[in-house]
Amino acid sequence: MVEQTVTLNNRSGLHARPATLLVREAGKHPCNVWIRKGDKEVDAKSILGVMSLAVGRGETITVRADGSGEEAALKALVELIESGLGEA
Amino acid sequence: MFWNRRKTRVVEQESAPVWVEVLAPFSGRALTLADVPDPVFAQKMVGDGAAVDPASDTLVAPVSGTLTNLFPTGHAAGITTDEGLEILIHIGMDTVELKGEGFTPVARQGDRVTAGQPIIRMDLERLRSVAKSLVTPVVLTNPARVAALEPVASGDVVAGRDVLFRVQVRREADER
Repeated sequence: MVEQTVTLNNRSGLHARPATLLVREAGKHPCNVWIRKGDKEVDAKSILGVMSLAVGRGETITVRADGSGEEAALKALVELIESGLGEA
Repeated sequence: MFWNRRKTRVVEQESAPVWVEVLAPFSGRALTLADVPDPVFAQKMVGDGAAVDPASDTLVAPVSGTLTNLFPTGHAAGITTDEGLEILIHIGMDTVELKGEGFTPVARQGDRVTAGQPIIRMDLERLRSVAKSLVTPVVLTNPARVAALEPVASGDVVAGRDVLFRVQVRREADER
């Protein structure tokens, strides 16, 4: 199991479009991936789950991956989030 | 012999396909996702479904279930049905940038909702002047649970009454 904390810096938070990009990336990896904000953790492969965290710009989230290819999944997701999820 | 016949009948009932009808969340004109002016929805990246160009000011639940997601800005809602389908309703395009202006949620995240129940009221006149588009996609975000999806509506629809599309639920044979 690996995890990393990252700050969301895209323009308008984790709403439909950036959440979709994140979920699609998570879905490419065979391992389980979760996103955590505060004490709430959701499946990173569920759009409704990720949107329900309502992560705003500047907020900190933790990406956690467990299983086959967990390092690659974590790296890809952290890079995607740091890049601004298509709307930096 | 009668026992056998009876058993067979029960098995047939159990394996009958389960369809969930997804109602129009607004009154207005039914559109296909290809008509939605945002590639993320038009290319079905978020999921498959349909859309409505709203003429009414109240978003109603298109299905019964749990309101698992009510975005704080009031421009989107997600419902998980008892069959496990996840349905996202997204009012307009780039409306997240309005930061809640013009949207008033009338339900709460976590609520149990019934198809047709009001979830979000909006200031239609104001939003028409400030939003890029109010076209509202209604999409299934967990395709793994979907065996088939059929569009139903075209033309004018009435909120909470007309079926926009219907979904056949995929059975999870290894569950239960």
